[in-house]
Amino acid sequence: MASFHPDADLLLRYSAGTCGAALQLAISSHLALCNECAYAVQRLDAISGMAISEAQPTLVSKKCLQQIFDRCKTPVTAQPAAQVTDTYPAPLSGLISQNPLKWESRGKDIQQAILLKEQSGTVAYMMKIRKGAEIPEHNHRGDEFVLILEGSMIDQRGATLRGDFVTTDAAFTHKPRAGDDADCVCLVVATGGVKFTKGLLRVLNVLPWQ
Amino acid sequence: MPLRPKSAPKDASFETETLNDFLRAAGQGDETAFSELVHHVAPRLKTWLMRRNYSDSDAEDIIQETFVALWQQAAARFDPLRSNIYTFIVGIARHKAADRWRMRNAAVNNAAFVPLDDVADTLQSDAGENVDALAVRQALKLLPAEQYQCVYAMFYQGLTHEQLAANSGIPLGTVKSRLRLAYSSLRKNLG
Ligand SMILES: [Zn+2]
Repeated sequence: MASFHPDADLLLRYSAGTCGAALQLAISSHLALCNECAYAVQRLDAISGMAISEAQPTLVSKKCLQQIFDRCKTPVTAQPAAQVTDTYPAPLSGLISQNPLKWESRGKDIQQAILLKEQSGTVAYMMKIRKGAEIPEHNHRGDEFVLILEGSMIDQRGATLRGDFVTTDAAFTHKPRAGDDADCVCLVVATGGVKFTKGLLRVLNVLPWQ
Repeated sequence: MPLRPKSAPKDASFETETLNDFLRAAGQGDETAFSELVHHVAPRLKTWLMRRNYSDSDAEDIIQETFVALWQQAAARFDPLRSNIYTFIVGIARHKAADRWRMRNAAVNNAAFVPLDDVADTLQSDAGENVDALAVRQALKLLPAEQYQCVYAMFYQGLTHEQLAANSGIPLGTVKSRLRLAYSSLRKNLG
């Protein structure tokens, strides 16, 4: 059971359908691992549902309706069973099975693989940190959201484990470390990139996709 | 009876319970019920999507994918004790909208676009029971006006916090704190 969750604001934006693709991926992945938040979103979805039910109708083209009914008349062709892995929650494993991760090394302990990038500059990427390794002290140019998927990550707020959804705002400076037991794999959504506050790893200062 | 589009009924106002019945029947292969459902819900879903900045044609593509998924897979899983037609469809439409977004942005993402197999981002959770319309209306009514304004802008108008702040002149921080309060109240009153 997760100890860190998306806050009220994120759950509201998620349910209302206004949070953007990167956060949607991270939050839906958390929901797959957290009954508590899945339950909360289902409550909020009753409001979203009501907003749809009360919306003034907009004309849907005959072509669109015809296509729906034509496709529904076509028998469903059996699809190859999706590769199910327990490692990643469904929304993420679905995406990865279609677009395999391209891991790139950032220094000897860290690998990153982009998932998607919004026009706003917000990115979602996977990050793998070698067990026991430390990410040099940094703060953030924008907000950062991390969903832990494997292993653990430790900073001054404590240890975070699989399913934990950790929000870090721009002002926060930390020096997170991967737990000693296993490499840490996480999904990161960053609205602005990170800024390393200490020497050496300037190469990490800008995410490769920004 | 074959599926075929028909012109929208003059008065397409079905009660949610009736639509729930249609969805359940659709889950058992009832094409007429499914057709009624599409004609009633699709135009409303289109409005909801267009308020979230999807173009007319993107909205229609999302609608198409949503209803095809509903017919082929999701309807059979629908349980009116745990959900209702609109709550149920939100999870599918959000998911299909994300697919659409990825397709639009496949070039930027340097990745081939293939739609995902799974149906919805969140289906009915096992724990929850359906929240009926009366309970939602009641919970919204209990919000102070200034909180309701923010919830309405978000859920009904599809505005981001920034858009709401710009439109209304309410500072962004105030928008956020009102929504936090609204959330606590809604959670208390929606169970
Ligand atoms: Zn949670």
